[in-house]
Amino acid sequence: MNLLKTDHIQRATNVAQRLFEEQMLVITPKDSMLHKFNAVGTFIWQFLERSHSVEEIVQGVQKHFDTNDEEAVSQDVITFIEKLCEKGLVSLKSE
Amino acid sequence: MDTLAQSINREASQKNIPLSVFIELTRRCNCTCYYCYQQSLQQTKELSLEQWQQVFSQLKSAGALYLTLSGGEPFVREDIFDLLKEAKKQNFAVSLISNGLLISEVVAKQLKDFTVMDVGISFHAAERDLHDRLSGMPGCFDQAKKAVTWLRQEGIKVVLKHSVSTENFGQFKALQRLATQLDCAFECDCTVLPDTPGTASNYSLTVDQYKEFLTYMGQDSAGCSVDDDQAALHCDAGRSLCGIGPNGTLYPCIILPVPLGNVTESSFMSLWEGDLANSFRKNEKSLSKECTLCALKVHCSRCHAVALLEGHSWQGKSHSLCARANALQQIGKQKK
Repeated sequence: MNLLKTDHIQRATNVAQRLFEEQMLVITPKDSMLHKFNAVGTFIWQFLERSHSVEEIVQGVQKHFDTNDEEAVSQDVITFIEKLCEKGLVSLKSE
Repeated sequence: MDTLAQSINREASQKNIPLSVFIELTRRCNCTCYYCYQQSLQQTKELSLEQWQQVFSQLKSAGALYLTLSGGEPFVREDIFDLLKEAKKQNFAVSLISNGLLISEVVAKQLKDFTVMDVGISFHAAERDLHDRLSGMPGCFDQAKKAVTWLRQEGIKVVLKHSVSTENFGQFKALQRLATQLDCAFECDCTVLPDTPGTASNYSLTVDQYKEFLTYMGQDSAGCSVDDDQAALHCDAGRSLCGIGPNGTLYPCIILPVPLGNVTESSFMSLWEGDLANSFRKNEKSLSKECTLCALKVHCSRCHAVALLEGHSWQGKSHSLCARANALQQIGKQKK
């Protein structure tokens, strides 16, 4: 999939999750598998409590982790969001 | 190597985070299963939907992720879908345990909308007549099979659950095949809780039966390292797991009747960090010397609840678990 910076991302509603020692535990609905996100993944997941565009997520990560490397952050965010999409944890929100 | 789930559970156990909570919503049931310890217990007041909503919120704050909803039969509660809705709102991973009698095609479809990870359906036997007799409900076997089929049609994971006893010994083989046919997982256990305190259940297996069962299931150890004395008799009860009864009584484990207080009288966290819970955790270090010095310790599937129900103390020994440890030792010797 090719995500655009203007694409809006929303979390799936039937996802079990819990913040565990500052890291997010998430269970994928398709296969009931447990996943643990790192600090950036945890931030993005919590940021997506409300739907945001890819661009807004990138800006949010830059601000939160105090980094100016937009290209690297952008690539990491897109890779992460694509994985979340594959696992049914998020989807593209139609405008 | 540890799976992620095992590693998270170990961390939760070390930090006393109640990751898994087993809730008995009711003691009411539409079956009268032959071994059910709940039948000897008094019916009790049940927490209302509003009370459970508060408890779920407190459990979420305490770090709980996995919620098992059982009974009795959980589907006899008319507000079961409201409870599931609340569990979804609080982002719990829910497991249901049921006899399947009240799971229709419509119910199976509805369950798909919640955060239900799996539904465990109890099977006493792979033979219709035997299952119906042991559940005390004619037609139970056929309905349970239909429930499994409908749940699987909706893509919901189903676990075929089986308690092995002297009454249905040998059925585990056919049930394992049935689970494969019905495209569901299979879990069976040979721990039978006594309905009369102070004695092992009449349905507990003999050493030879344990050997046959454990060999068939490919289990040749209790799962602990031979040189790990500490782990051998440890249980996560009261640490990474706990249980709450229909009236709100909190237990270290749902089958271990050592009350830690009631969640309708105090908040979950004040009970979890309170004197009774801390005292229970501390007392695990002073198990009976019969157990701590036992040569079969590394083969022991220690369960404080079984020890308490079969004897007089949860720190004491259990005759049925000793028989099981004996069987595991003999299996180990034969393999060598």
